[in-house]
Order: sequence, then structure tokens, then C-alpha cells
Amino acid sequence: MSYKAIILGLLLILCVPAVSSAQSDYSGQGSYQAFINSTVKKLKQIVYLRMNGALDLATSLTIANDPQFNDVVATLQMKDYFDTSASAGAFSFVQDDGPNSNFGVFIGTFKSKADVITSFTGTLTEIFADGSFDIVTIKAKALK
Amino acid sequence: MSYKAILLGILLLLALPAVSSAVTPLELFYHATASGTNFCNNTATKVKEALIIGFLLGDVAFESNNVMAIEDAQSNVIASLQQEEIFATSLTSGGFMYTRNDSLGNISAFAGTFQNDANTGVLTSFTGTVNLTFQNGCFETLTIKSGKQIIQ
Repeated sequence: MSYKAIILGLLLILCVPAVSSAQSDYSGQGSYQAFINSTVKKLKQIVYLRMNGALDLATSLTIANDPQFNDVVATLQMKDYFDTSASAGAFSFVQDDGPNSNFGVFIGTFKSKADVITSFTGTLTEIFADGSFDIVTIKAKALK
Repeated sequence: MSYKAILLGILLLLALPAVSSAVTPLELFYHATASGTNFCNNTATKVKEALIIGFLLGDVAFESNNVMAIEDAQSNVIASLQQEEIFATSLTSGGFMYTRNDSLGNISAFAGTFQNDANTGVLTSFTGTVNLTFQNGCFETLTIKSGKQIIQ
């Protein structure tokens, strides 16, 4: 084995964590139908989204009300993903934290460039541990 | 005991089943229309379809535990969801949420609003959004609007 092959192997090993820890942030309009305290409210607000992991690997989606991701609405794991063209596709994310806890499903479509999502849209249906629940329609673009 | 008392007793006995069925009607089904997108086999397809929505316990607004069945127009079950939450926003309206995770990869969530009969709890109309994911990798997002109750 030549030293070039050894170096290549080392470089590949070093690259793996970098790929799996890839993180992309997005923001956009969230249109809420919020069911809380025996009321149903409609509201619109900016939401912030963070996708961890490469698109074709296991990815998580975090939805928050603030850019610091302190006020997290939901953290979902990718369930399914496929391309519909070279630059577009669809995905689903789910969250099931157990009985009487957070449960949600997000389904949406995305546009991508070189396997990186540039924008996406979708709908989240989520129930929280306190019994309140939301339907949220999200349109988001990558933060630069 | 007078014959009047006996007659009253018989009438009460006869009335009981009628009262109990009025309080807790068994499963009820509704026609519904759904629009949204189906994602399957690398294609996203806009859908607009007729559905049948069933509730295991018909007095939905009064039940803390219930089951919602989403069926196609031929009564084939697409998904069966458990009630997670329900609350009244008035005597005749409310919000409810149903979910499903069968551990086989079928994970779904429905949330919506309803109008109900104040006396029976039976829904007069409802609407909501359901996100459905299936074990075969397909998934679907639908907005559902109820139609008429199906008289069986």
C-alpha cells in the first residue's frame, strides 16, 4: 500500500464526520392554526428551521420560533425522501416522543442544488405534551 | 301496586335502550372531499378525491377516546387514527387531533375543527389537515372537508 493510498484513506475518514454533521439553517413564513386553551387561533410568524445531516442520509428537522433555536416547536426525524427531478424532491419527517408527549408529522417538497436544499415548503401537524396542537404551513429559504 | 305503576315500569324499561342509543350512537360515517398531494414512486401527484370518514363513537364531541377511520370511496381503509385531544370552543364547535404510529412505518397525524349538535355530540361538519406516511415509503398530505353523514 502506497503512502498516497494511506493519506487518501485518512482524508476519507476525516471527511465522514464533516458530512454527517452538516447543518443548514432556513427561515420563512409559518402560517399557524393553533389549538390551545379551548381556542383556535390563526396567526402568521417567521419560523426558523435547521436541518442536520446530508439530504440523502438520516436528517433531523428542527423548527423554532427564534433564530437562536431556543424556542423549539418541534424536532423531527426524516422518515422518507426522494428526488422528483435533479433539483427537486419531497420528504417526510416524524416525531414520536412517546405517550402524552410530542407527536408530529411534516410533509413537504424541496428544491436543491448539489444535494443541498435551497428552499422548501410543507405542512406540519403536531401535538404537544400539554395537549395543545398546531397545523403549520411553512415556506422557507436557506439563510445565508 | 296499581296497574298504572306497572305500566310506567314497562314503559321505562322499553325506553332505556332508546335513551342509551341516543346518548352514545355507535360508529358514524361521513362523506368527505380531500385535496392535497400524494408522494409515491418518485412522483408528486396533486389529488382531489372523495373519502369516507368514520368515527367509532358517533357522539364525537362528547368522547375523550375515539377512533377515526379514513377510507377511500370504496370503503378501503387508508388509515385508522386514535384520538389524542379534543376540546370545545363553544357548545357547538371544537378542535380535535388524531394520531397513528403502528410501529410498522405507518405514522400519521390529523388536526382539525368541527361543528356539533349540542345535545348529542354528533358532528354536523368538520374540516382538517392530515399528514399520512406509509410503510412502503409513500406519503400524503390532505385537507379534508366533511360532507353529509352516511345514513346506514
